[in-house]
Amino acid sequence: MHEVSIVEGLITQVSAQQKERKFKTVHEVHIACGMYNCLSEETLNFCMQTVAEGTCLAKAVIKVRRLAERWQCLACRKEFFQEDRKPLLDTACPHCAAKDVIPRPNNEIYLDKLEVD
Amino acid sequence: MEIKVMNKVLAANDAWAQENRSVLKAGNVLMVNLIGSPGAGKTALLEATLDLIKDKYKVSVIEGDIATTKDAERIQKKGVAVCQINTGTACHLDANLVNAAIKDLSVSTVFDIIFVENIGNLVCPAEFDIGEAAKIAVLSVTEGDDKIEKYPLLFSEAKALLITKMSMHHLTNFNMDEAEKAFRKLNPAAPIFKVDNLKSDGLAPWVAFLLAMKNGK
Ligand SMILES: Nc1nc2c(ncn2[C@@H]2O[C@H](COP(=O)(O)OP(=O)(O)OP(=O)(O)O)[C@@H](O)[C@H]2O)c(=O)[nH]1
Ligand SMILES: [Mg+2]
Ligand SMILES: [Zn+2]
Repeated sequence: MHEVSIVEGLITQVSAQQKERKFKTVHEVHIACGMYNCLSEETLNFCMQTVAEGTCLAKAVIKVRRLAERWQCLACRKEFFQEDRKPLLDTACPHCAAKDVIPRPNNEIYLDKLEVD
Repeated sequence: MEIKVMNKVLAANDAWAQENRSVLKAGNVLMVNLIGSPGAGKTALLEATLDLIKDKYKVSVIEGDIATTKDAERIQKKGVAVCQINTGTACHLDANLVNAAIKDLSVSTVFDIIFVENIGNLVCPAEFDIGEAAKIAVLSVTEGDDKIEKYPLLFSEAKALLITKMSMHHLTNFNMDEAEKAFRKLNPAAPIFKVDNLKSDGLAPWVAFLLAMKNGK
């Protein structure tokens, strides 16, 4: 349940934004993260409902977007992006078809954008 | 109205992690973060490793545990300083908790190496930087070789992979080739150490790796 910590992080970030931008209600919170981050949208929303009561986030819905997975080809050194996670050993370079490719994931979790009033 | 932000959600944790890193660097302390499933052999690995280095180096252990002090007691038997963190319900250690533990440990001694045993879990601990020099993945042969691909975050971040319970390898269907192939995909450079903690087998290369990190090589 690291989702609790993530939600706490979100609340801190959103409070800082609220001070600056003076909005009243947050409708949507968009998170972006890497392919390998284990984030359950359902769990995040459940945690938010319990933790955010009485704040501007009380009615907010969290949406998670996966950033495309970055790979590098060891044969031609070019980078490419993959939208869906495929089995590790099945990925080939779209430039030269080599199978000698390695993932270069971005494993950060970002607060992407807010929908507010 | 839409507000574009694009900030790291765990920025507060990352700030603590940076603080830990600079404190440790100033004291020339190596901190490693052991991560693996419940029962993978993290404590047993520590017990076996401490036997090999505790007479030459000042070492201590931060034990992350949800509720009990069982692991801390095992480490204490080795005569090594240990700081217990009970996380209550949290499934991982965060940098703030570890900061308090480092302060606690460092009151009287400057250590060469601080080992952190994270909560047994392949998922959550991997998401949190605690200011360690290296995350170390601990995987036992009884868990299956597929765990590397199923939990890629830890294995892609790890600075080394320890495969434990090697004396039981022949009793399992753990495919070492598949495991190594999957790990190499995620992590081309990190070394793999195959060990048995109870027999103290295969630990010398792991200890050499630790000491090389300690000496900044
Ligand atoms: N044969 C064998 N048994 C091992 C080895 N490493 C650990 N064990 C046994 O596996 C069990 C679990 O080991 P622990 O060291 O407690 O595992 P852990 O990863 O610290 O577990 P948690 O702290 O609960 O997450 C114990 O009974 C150990 O004696 C090993 O290399 N070989
Ligand atoms: Mg343990
Ligand atoms: Zn290529």
